[in-house]
Amino acid sequence: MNLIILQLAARYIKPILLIFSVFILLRGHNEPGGGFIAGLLAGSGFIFHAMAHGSEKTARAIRFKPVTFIRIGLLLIFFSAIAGIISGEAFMKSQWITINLLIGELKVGSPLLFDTGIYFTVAGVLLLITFSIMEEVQWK
Amino acid sequence: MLLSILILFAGACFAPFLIKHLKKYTGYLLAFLPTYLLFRFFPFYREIKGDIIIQNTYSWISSLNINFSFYLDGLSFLFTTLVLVIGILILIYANGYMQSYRYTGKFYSYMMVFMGSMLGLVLSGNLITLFLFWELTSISSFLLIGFHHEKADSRSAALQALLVTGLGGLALLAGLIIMGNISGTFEIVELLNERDALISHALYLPLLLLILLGAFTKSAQFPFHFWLPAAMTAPAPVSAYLHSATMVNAGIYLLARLHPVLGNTPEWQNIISLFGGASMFIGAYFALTQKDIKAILAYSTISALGILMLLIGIGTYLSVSAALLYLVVHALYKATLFMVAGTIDKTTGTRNIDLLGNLKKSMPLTTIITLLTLLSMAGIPPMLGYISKEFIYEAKLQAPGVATYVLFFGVLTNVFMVAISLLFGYKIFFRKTPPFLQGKEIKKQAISFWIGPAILAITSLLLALFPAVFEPIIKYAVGSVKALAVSVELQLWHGVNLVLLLSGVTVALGVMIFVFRKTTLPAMEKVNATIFKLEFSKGFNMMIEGLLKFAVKNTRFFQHGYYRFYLMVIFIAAAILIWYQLYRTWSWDFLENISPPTFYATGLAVITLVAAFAATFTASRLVAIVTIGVVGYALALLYMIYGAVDLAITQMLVETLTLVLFVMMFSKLPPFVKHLSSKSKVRDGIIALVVGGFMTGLALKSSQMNLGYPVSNYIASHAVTVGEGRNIVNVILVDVRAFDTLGEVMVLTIAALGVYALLKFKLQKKKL
Repeated sequence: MNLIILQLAARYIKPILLIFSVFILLRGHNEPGGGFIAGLLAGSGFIFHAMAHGSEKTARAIRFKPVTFIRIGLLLIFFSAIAGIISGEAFMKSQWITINLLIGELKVGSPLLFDTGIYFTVAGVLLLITFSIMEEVQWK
Repeated sequence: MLLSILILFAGACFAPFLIKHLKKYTGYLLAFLPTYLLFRFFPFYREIKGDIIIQNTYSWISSLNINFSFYLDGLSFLFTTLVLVIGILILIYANGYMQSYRYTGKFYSYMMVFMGSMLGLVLSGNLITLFLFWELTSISSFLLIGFHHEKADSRSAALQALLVTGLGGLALLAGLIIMGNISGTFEIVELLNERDALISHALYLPLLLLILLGAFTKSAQFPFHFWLPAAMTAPAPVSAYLHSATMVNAGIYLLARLHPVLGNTPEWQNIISLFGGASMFIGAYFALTQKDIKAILAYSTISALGILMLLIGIGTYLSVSAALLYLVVHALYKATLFMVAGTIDKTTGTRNIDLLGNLKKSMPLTTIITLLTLLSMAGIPPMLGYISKEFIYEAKLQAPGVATYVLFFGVLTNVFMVAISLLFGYKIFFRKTPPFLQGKEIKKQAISFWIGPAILAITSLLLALFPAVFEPIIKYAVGSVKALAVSVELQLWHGVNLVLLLSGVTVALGVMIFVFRKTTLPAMEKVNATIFKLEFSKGFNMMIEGLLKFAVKNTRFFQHGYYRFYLMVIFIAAAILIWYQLYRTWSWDFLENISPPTFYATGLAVITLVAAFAATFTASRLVAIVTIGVVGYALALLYMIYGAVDLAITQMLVETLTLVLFVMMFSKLPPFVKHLSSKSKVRDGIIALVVGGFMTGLALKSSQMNLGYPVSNYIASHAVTVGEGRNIVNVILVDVRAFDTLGEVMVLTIAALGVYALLKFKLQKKKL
């Protein structure tokens, strides 16, 4: 398929969706958002691209396999989960550190890591399912 | 002590590497590990002498009283010595025996794993630790029996052994847990004080039966004996080590260990002596008519294990000392005989006793070793076997209650043993060269083939001549079984008494059977052919096959592969359960504090309804997809109105993506024809209404649920202070209930991999 309008739209919408997804991910702990939603958004961005160009081209553009996203995500979740054990507390107990930046304080904690893990996993799952289906229906 | 076990396991890890570079010496090199351990353990003898028990405890799951604890007393010391000494000799033997096989790396690995687990088993001070090692020995035995995995009978024998001992293992675990629950501890030291509570408890008999089931399956007692002869498909070192000298003694060890805690009750004595006695007699009887020399040895092992069980069951001082003495004797002669059998198999290429003969010329050393060992097995002086047989007779004479019956079968069993020994020795080594071996050149055997058997045979002789060296070890072992020190005197000459008379009768009858073998053996075979037509192992296999067939039928019935029927079953089952519960607890209270719906909500509800109806009655798939999408978006808006922003966003995104996926598949779906009859439409409609009805009911019901203190308040007040976030939903997802989220992510991942696998598999098939 050669859909000029869709391809043109995808060129702009994909980066916007990706950046927006990161924004949603980071604000998630205080405002509506979070890893799951952000993961869906990021996945949608790629899917939009894939609908315009075909899954093979998108897969090549991403360079990572969808399974790699899932791997990264699960690994991040694992690290966030053992953060509690490392600091001598229970498995999955959340840990927070406050980093003093010049502009202000930034709180970083294992739940954020966890949420990032969710983000990658959800995006990976979405891409894996969609790309498999696209390959099956030979969406080009 | 944990370190000793770990050393052996480390040996298991290194064995394959050793094989790669030093294939010729791997067995010798690995034998250094148990030798080293023997030296490590030897100094403990002084503590054992002083009646000091050595304990090591590593905390494992302390909240459940489960510790990784080790315990060394007289009994453990005896078994440890046995496991290590025979282990060394077997490894040396295996070095020669296994030379021509492939996968020897695996073999040595399994062997070392077994040795480590067996050591762990006899050193465990905690019942759960003991169980762990118990199962490890079963598993390593499975792997070793199935060593020739390319042969079908090897595989089935391995599986059979695993299933039988595994079944016993599960029963044992249940028994041990009951024991732990009654006494509140799994530590053997502490259990010793709980004897009264245990034997007077209502669950004493069930727990005893469960533990006995574990011990009987492991020690191949009748009627679970069949796995042991089948296990003879394993290489000779395995039979010599696992299936005669050590692993099968685990059941005996367990009962000896638990004797001070559970023993000496009428139930204990009767059940154990019944099964032990039966195995003792049946094993010896069957051994007499076997043709395969390893099968002869296997059945006589069953008999020996039966004797041990019986003696433990009788439970007098005398019988327990007789048991432990016989255990050592048996390990010494049976390991030797199995190694000899392996050597004969290797050199002549057969294990059929009828094809063998006149090996004394070609294998003089082996002949001498075997003769010495057979003397021990038949219980003839001057071997250690004689002393132990005298002891056993004496113990049986003094057995309370069952003495006469036990003595009768005991003597009969030993008569068979004498006859077997004579047959074994005569047929293999002395009679004229049979046609099978004529003209065959028999190679000289390397030193590794006879050094192990020779050491064991000479040990057996020396210990009989100088029993004083050996006496204390048995004494301390008996002491820990009875928790009371008693004197055990070992002597070759007991003076003329009833026991000596019985010995004489035994030998005479055994010789008679041998002399008239032309008439006695065929008669026995005839009896076997008529009475024992159905072999136990065949019966067991039939049972397993039946179970598998049932499982197939069962699965076919439930997993029929029709997606719509799965859904229907789920829906109907859920509807029945939930409607029943709703009907039981229903009330109309919620009508009172219902608030009038807002303008937006009403509008959305109307849109949803219209879209739902359109989806139900449309004749076009595209319309159906779009209208269902409309329902989804309307729901998302509804969430928005009631303030669930995160939920609304998620719903919106998921709805969009679902639509996109639908669109992708659209062209590939089969045409939207009327493939449903009006009858099934009505049926589906009813199911849909019933399910929708209970969902409505549930939603209404949930508003009047009164959960003492809502969790939401707690989370709301702690989200910022503890969770460091102002978005409560997110705090719940990633912090408070992160475990749930983790589970959901796992489900998603598995689902995605499932989709991927399904589609990829189909694609590959198409390409083919």
